[in-house]
Amino acid sequence: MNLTPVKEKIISKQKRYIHILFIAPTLIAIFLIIIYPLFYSFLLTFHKFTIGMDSPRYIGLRNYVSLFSDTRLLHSLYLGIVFTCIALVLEFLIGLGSALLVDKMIRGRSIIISILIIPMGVMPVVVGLVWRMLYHPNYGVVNHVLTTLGFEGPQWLASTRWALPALILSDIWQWTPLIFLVILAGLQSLPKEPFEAAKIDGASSWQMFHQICFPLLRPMILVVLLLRAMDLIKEFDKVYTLTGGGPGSATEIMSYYVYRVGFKYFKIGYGATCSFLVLFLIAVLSFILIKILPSEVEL
Amino acid sequence: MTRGEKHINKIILYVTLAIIMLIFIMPIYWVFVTSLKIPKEYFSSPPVYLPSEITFSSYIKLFQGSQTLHHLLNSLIVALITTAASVGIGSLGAYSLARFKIGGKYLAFAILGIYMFPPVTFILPFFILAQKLHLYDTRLILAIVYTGFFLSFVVWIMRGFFYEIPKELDEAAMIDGCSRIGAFLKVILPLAKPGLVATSLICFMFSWNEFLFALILTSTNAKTLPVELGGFITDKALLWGQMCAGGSFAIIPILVLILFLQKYLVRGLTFGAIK
Repeated sequence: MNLTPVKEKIISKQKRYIHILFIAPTLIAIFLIIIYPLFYSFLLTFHKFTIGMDSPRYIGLRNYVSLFSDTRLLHSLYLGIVFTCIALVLEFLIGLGSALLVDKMIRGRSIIISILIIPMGVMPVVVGLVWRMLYHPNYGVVNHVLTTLGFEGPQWLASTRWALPALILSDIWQWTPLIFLVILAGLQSLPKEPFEAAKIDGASSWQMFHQICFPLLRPMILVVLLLRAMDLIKEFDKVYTLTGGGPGSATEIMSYYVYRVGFKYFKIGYGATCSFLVLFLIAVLSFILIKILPSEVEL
Repeated sequence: MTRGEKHINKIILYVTLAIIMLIFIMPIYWVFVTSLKIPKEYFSSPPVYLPSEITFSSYIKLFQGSQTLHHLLNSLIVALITTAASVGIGSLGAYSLARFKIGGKYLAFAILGIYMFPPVTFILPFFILAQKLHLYDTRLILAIVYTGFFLSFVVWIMRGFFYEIPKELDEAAMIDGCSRIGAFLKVILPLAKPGLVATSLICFMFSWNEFLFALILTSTNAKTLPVELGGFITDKALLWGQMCAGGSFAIIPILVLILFLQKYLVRGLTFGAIK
C-alpha cells in the first residue's frame, strides 16, 4: 500500500496518541495519589504542626536536626535493623532447607505447596492476634509445647527480652513460605545436565549445591531477599496487634514509631520527617535491588 | 548408600516435613477452633486442642449489636472496586510499557519503585488531604488510595506477561480490521488470563488484608474488617471467641480464593524472580 507523506504523518500521530492513551490513566493516578501527597508530606517536614495549631508553621530544617537527638527514633531504627536481619536470615535458611527437601519429593509436593501458601494470605492483623493467644505464658500453645519438650517457656509478650523474638517468629511463620516457593520454583527450573556431569565427576552433594545450585539460584534469591527486607522494614500491622510496640518500646520498630509520633503525639511535621527517614532506607535498598536486577535477571 | 539408609532418610524427610506443615497450619487451626469453643476453653492449662463441645455463640455475639456485617461489606466493596480499577488501569499501562516501550526502562522501574514505598510516609498527608477533600471515612478514599499503590504492582506483573505474547498477534488482529484497543481486548487480554487472575487475586487479597491506611482514613462509616479486628485489642481485650470468629471471616475468603487459584498465584508470585 502506498501512502502519501501526509497520510503517513496522520497515521503515526494517531499511533502516538493511542500509545499515550494507554498509559495516561496509570500515570495520572500515580501522580495524584502517590507523587502529590509525597510532595505535600515533604513540605510538611519543614513545618511544625501539632494540636492547637490552625495551620503548619515554617521552621526550616529544625525537624531534621531533631532527628539526630531523638533517642527513641534511633532505638526504633536499631530495632528495625535487628528485626529485619534476624527475620531475613532465618526465613532464608528455613525456606532454603524446606525447598531442598521438597525438591526431592515426587508425590505430595502440590499438597505441601498448597498448605504453605496459606500463611502468606492471612490478614497480618489476625496473625498478630492469634499469636498473642499462642504466646500466653501460662495457657498458650507455644509454652505448652516448650514445657512438653523440657524447656521453660519465657514470658514472651510481657518480657522486654522476648517480645521482639516473638514478633520475629510470627513474621517467620507468615513469610518463610515465600522464600520457600521462590527457591523451589528456581530449583525445579534448573537444568539437569550440570548435576549429572558433576555426579559423574564424583562431586559430593555439598559441592554440587555450593558450586552449581547456589550460583544459578543467586539472582532470584537476592531479589526475593531484598523485597522481603523492604517489607520487614515497613512492618506495622503485626506490631500493632501483637505487642502495641511494647512492652514499653521494646518492639517499637520504625513504622510503628512514625505512627505514634503522628497519630498519638500529633506531631505531624516531625512525624513526616521521621517517615522520610524510613523512605530513605527503603530507597537505599531499592537502589541496590535496581542495580542488581537488570544484570542478573533478563527482563 | 544402602537401601536401608535410603529408607531411613526418606522417613526423616517426611517426618520433618510433617512437623513443618503442622507448625504452619497450627495458628490457622487455632483461630477456627477457638471461634467454636466455649468461653472457659479459650485459655486453659493445658491448652484445649480439641474442644469438648462446639458452639456458634461467638459468631452470633459477633454479629449481634455490632457493626461487623457493615464492616465486612465495606471490606468487600473496597476490595472489589480496588481490584477492578487497579487491574483495569494497570493492564492498559502495562500493555503500553510492553508494546510501545514508553519511557523506556526508566519509567518501568520508576513505577515498580512506587510499590516499594513505605506506607507510613503517606499516612500523614493522606489523613490531611482526605479531610480537605471531605473524603475522610468513605469507602471511596480507601479504594483510591489502594488503587494508587496496587497499580504499580499490576503494571509490573502484567508487563511481564505481555512481553511473552508475540507482537505478531497484535499486528495480525489489526490487519484483520481491529483497532489497537480492539486487538488488546479481544486477542491479547484473553491470552494473558493467568496473569490477570493472579494479579486480581493478589490485589483483592492486599485490599482485604490492608490495615494501616484503613486505620488512618476511616472511623465509623467506612471501617473495614481489619480495623475492627485491630480494635479488639484495645477495647475488648477479653472477647477472644468473637475475635477468632471475626478472624475466621478475615481468613476464609482468601483461603478459598488461594486454594482454587493457586496455580495462577504461584506463577504470579515467582514470576518476578525468574524469567
